[in-house]
Amino acid sequence: MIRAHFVLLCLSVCPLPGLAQQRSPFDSFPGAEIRLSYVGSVVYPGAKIGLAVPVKLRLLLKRNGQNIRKDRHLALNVGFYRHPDFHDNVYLTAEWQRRRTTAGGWFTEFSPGLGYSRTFLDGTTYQVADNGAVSIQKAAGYNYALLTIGGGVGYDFSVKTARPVLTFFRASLLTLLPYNSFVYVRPTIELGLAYRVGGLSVFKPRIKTIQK
Amino acid sequence: MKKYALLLLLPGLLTACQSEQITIGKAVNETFYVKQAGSSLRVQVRGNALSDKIILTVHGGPGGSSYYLSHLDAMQQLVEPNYAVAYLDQPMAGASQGNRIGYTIDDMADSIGKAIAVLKQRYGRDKKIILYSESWGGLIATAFLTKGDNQTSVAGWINSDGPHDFNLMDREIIRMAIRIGQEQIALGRNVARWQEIVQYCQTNDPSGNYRVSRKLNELLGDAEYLIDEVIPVEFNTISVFRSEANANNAPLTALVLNLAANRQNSVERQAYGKSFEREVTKIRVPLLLLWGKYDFIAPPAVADSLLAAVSSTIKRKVLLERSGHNGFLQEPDLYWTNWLAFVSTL
Repeated sequence: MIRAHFVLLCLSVCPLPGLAQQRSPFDSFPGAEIRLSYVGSVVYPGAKIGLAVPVKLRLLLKRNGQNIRKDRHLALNVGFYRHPDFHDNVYLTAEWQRRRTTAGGWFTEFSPGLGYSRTFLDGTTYQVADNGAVSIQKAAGYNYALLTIGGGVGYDFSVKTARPVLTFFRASLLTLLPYNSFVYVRPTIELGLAYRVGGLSVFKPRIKTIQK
Repeated sequence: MKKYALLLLLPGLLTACQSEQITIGKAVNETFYVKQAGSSLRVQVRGNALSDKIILTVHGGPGGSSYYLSHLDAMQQLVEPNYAVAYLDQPMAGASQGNRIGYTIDDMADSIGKAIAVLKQRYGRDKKIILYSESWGGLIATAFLTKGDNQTSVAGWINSDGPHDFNLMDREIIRMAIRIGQEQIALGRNVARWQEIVQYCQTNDPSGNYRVSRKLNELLGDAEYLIDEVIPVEFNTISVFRSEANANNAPLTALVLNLAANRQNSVERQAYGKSFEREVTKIRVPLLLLWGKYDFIAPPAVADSLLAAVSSTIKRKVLLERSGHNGFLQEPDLYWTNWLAFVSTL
């Protein structure tokens, strides 16, 4: 278990080779982000990879120079966690991310999302026929609708340096439904890196500047 | 091509733990799932799988989990070294999983039969299965044993404070509460509380009225601790869930939300639509009843009714004089001595 945590943590903090270094100044439309994170479902390990595309940008230019940037991103993610003796969960989510970045580079974000989850039970699963015959069901697990809500903090290196890198920590709740006639809620934490890639922006920038 | 190799391997990696692994030894600990009614029920087998007997737990609730039983010192230190114990999570309980909406008491009862079929397949057809039901589990075990020829797959039944008929249970709660309440008032003990209870019981009829049934449970759930003779014990469900969830890789949120799921689905209410008072005459398996004298949730008169009605030639009730609904904790010596003695005879 500790080894799995370590490998996933290393994956989440190692730079991805081949990605173009591109400066993204505080007051310009940021590029899309490739996000890779270690997911800890309380004590159980997992990982998540995603692409966050900026959709909207609003700049609050303050007289005291403490400017604020508010981004809206649409993010698509694939994640999984492994809970021994319970299930492995692979999930796809689409999230609407609201981020607020200070002139110093620190940011907070909040992101509700929708998705799909497929679990794989972690244990042999038997089915018993009406005649009493017992057989093993392959790839046993369930499909669920998924709701997520999460928030976190991070640092955007591109604000102060030429490195198009962000690092973040966030906590989320995954809600699987319908689950046993009700819902199943699972808390997760993430520690990750995001790399900004300019060429992946698919939306026409909408930048609104407000003087305060 | 290499980058696709991981994708191709992924389904294999995710299902690798689903291949069958069976351990036969003196201290097994393995988990598997049994499909039932659109749900996958978690079964954790612990203990001595070399024994010729497997104890199958039928937990309380509805929506409890098997973990409060596996949490008991007596199960770990007295039972598991001698017998294999299959801790079964009922549908919508414990770490059982599924995406179906709506489960019935029959779904829960049928889960026992499926678990038995799988236990015999895994550990040997000659294994004797002994049901150990507790509280709500008494109703589920009754529903199973009175259906078809189900009882032929069972070598014995230990029922601990488990009502077999909820309408009978409510009638006996009223009688017991009035009788003991008046005794306590005469003795000058907790007079105001008992007056409230007695007055409610004298003026409300639970027949066909679920609201009254809930109120009885609310008023009398802890009434045993108003009796001086009863041994007080700490039994905090959430605290037990937390400790056992960690110890057994069961997610705490699932355990807690499954409790809520049962309430959401009015599973308990369904129990009032079942009548097993006459049905239990079909039961022929050896039966041990372990019951608290001051159990106001499932009064001992319910045990007397069950004992008198079953057709079992071997049947016995042990009344725990200083216990309420948790005799396994309140009088553990008497409880487990009788428990083990009964199993050894099967």
